[in-house]
Amino acid sequence: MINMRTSPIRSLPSLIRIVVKAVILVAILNFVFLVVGFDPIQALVRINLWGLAGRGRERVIYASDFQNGQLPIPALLATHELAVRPKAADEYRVIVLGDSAVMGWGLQDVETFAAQLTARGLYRDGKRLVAYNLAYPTPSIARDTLLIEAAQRYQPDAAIWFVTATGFAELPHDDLTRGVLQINRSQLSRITDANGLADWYDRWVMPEAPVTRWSAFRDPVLTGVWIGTLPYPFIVPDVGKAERRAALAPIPIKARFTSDHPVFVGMPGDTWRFLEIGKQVADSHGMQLFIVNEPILIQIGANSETNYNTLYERALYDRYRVELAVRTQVLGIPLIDLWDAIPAANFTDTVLHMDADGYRQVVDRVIEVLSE
Amino acid sequence: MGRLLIEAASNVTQAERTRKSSLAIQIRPGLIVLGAAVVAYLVSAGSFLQVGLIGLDLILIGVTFALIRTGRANSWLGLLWIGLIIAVLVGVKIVPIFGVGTVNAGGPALGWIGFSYLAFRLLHMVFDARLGKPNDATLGETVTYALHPASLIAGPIDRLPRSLTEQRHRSALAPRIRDGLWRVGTGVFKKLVIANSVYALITAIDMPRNPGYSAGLAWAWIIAYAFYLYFDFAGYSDMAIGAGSLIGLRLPENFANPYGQPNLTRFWTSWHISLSAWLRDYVFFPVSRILMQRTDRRHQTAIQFTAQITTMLVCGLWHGISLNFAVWGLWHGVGLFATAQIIQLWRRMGWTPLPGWAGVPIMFVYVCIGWVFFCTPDMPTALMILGRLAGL
Repeated sequence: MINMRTSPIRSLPSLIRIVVKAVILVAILNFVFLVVGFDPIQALVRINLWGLAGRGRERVIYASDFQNGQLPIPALLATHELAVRPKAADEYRVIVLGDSAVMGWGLQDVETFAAQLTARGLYRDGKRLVAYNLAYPTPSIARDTLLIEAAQRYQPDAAIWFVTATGFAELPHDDLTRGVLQINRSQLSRITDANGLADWYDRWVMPEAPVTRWSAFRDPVLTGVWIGTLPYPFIVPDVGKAERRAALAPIPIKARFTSDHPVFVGMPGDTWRFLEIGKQVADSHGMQLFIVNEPILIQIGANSETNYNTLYERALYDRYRVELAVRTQVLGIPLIDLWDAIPAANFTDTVLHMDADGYRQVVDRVIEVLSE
Repeated sequence: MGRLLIEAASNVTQAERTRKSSLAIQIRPGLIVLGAAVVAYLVSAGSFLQVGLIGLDLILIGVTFALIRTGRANSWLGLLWIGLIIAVLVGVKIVPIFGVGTVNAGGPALGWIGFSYLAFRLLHMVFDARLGKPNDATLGETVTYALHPASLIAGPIDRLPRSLTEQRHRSALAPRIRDGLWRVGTGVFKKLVIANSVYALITAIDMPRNPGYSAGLAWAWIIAYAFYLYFDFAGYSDMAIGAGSLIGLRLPENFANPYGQPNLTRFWTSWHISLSAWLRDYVFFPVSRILMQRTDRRHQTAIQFTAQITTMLVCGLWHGISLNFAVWGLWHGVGLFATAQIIQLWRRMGWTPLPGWAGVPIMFVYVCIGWVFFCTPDMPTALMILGRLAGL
C-alpha cells in the first residue's frame, strides 16, 4: 500500500517544481484544446452505458432524472434511441419536439404522442414511420431549435414541432429553460450570432466569467452530473404523476400570462425568429417540418370570459394564434392548429398535459395532415 | 471567573515562569489561534451570529482550564462541569436553535459548529485531571489545543499531551511545508474529486426515494455511500492535517485504510481513529474497570459485552440523538463483541487463522449494512432499504 501520508517527493523544491510543471502542462493542453476547438468535458459526457443495456432512452428526460437534462444536448441525444438505433433503410424517421406534455408527463412510454404515432404503423414516402420523442420540459422554441439542429446527424426525415404561447416568451421566466440554454450556450451563440440575435442571447444567457472564456475545460460541474447519469440504463424511470385535474382549479381574475406580462410585452419579439431558424435548418437538411399548436384546456366558469384557463389570458393567446398562423404561412410551414381540439376531460394536472386518450386524438388529427 | 483564570494562569511551575514570564505572553499564541478559528467559523458558517459562539467556546475552555489548574477538577465541581458539558452536547444535538446545520424557523441558522469535537477535547482534559495525569499547559496552549483552526469544524480529536509536544517542539520548516502541501492536495482530491463524483451516483440512485429499485441497485447505492463517506471524511481529515502541518501544529492521523481491514475490531482502529481512541480510553476502559471491580471474573464475557455496547451506543449518539444513530452504534457494538468472541473461539479451538484478506469482504458488508442506519432519516426507511438489500 502506498503511503499517502507524507509526500513521496522528499524535497520541497522538487515538489514545487513538479506542481509548476503540471500547471504549465495543463496550460499548454488548454491552449491546444482552445485552438482546435475541442472541449474535453463535452466529449466525456457523451459517453454513456446505454450500449451495455442494449437500447436507448425513449425520452430525453424522465421525471426521475431531471439531472440528465443538465447535460449538453449532444450528450442527451447520444443516450436516446434516436442515436442508439441506426436508421433502417425503410424507416421514415420523425423527430417530435415539444414540452412536458409531449414528453408524456404522467404517461407510460407507450402512451406518449410519439409512441402512439409509431404504433399506427403508417407509411410515408414508402417507408415505415417511426417517431422519436425529443420533447423537453417547459416550452421553448429556442431550445427546440437547438434540438432540431443537433438531431440532424441522425438523419430525420421530418419533425413534428409542438408549440404553445409560453414557448415564445421574450424574456426568461423559468429556470429549466434558462439552464439548458446556459449549458448549450456555445451552440446557441453560434446560431444567434449568425442571425443577428446577440441581444436576445445576452438576455437569456448569463455572462461567463472572463477566466472561463480562456478555459477549454468549460462547465466542469457537468462531470458530476454525467457520473450521476451512468446508472440510468439500469433504473426503471419514473414518468411523473398527473393525478390532479387542472379543470377543477378556479380561473383567477388574472391568468399567469397576460398581454402586459413582461415576457410578452411587444409580442412578437425576437424569440419568434427561432421559427425561421428552425425552418432554415430543416430546409438545409431536406427535413420536412410540421408545427402543431398544442391543445390547451379551455375552462368554463368565473373569469373564463377573460382567460382561457389559469395559464393564458384570452387576449394574449388569441394574439399569439394569429401571429403563429401568419408566420407559419409566410415561412411555408404546415400548421396544425389543435388549440381547442381536445375536450377538457382529457386534460390532467396542467392546462397542457393530457391523458393517453387525449394524445390518441392528437395523433388522429396529425395523421390527417400527414396523409394529405 | 476572571480571578479564577488569573489564579489558574499564574499557577505555573518555576520552569514555566522562566519560559513565559507574563500572562500576555502566555495567551498570545492562543490569540493567534483564536483569530484563525474565528476566520474558520466565518468561512464555514457565513454568519456573525455563529462567530459569536466562539465566545462561548472560550468561556468553556477558560473554566475547564481554571478547574484543572486550581485542582478543583477532582472535586464535585469537576463532576458538575463534566455533566454540564455533556448536557450542552446533548442540547446542541437536540434543540433546533443550536442544532448544527438546522435552520431555526423564521430566523438565521444557528449551529454551534464543531462543538461535538470541542466537548470531547474538554472532557478529555477533565478526565485526565481526575485521573491524576499531569497537565502543565498554559492558558494559551490550552486555547491553541482546543481551538486548533484546522480541526475546529470536524476533527480530528487531538489529545492535549500530543498537542503540547507539537506546540513546544516545532519540526523543520521545509518538510512541514512539503508534507502539508501534499496532504492538503490529497485531501482536496479525495473530497472534491472522488467524494463529489461518488455523491453524484448516490443522488442518482437515491434509494430512500425509490423503494422499488432492485437489490443490485440498493447494494450499488450503499457501497457508493460507504466510499463517499470515507473519501469525504478522510479527505477533510487530510486537509486538516495538512493545514495543521503548514502552520506547525500537526494533527493526529484519523484514517488508516479502514475498508481494507480484516475484521471489525481493526476497522474501528482505522476509522475516525481519534474518536474511537477517545471512546476506548474514556468510555470502554472505565466501564470495563467499574464492572470488573463490582463483579468477578466469571462475568468477563458479560462485562465485555456491556462495555462494547455502551461504548458504541455513545459513539452513535455522539453523531446524533436519534434512534437511527443509536441502532447504528448498537449494530457495531454487537459486531465488535461477536468479532472478539469469534477470535477467542478460533484460538481456543486451535484452528488455523484465516488469511487477512478473507475477512475484508465480511467486514465491509457488515459495515455497509450499518451505514444504512447511519444515512437514512428514520427507521422505516432504513428497514425498507435493508429489505431491498436482502432482495425482499
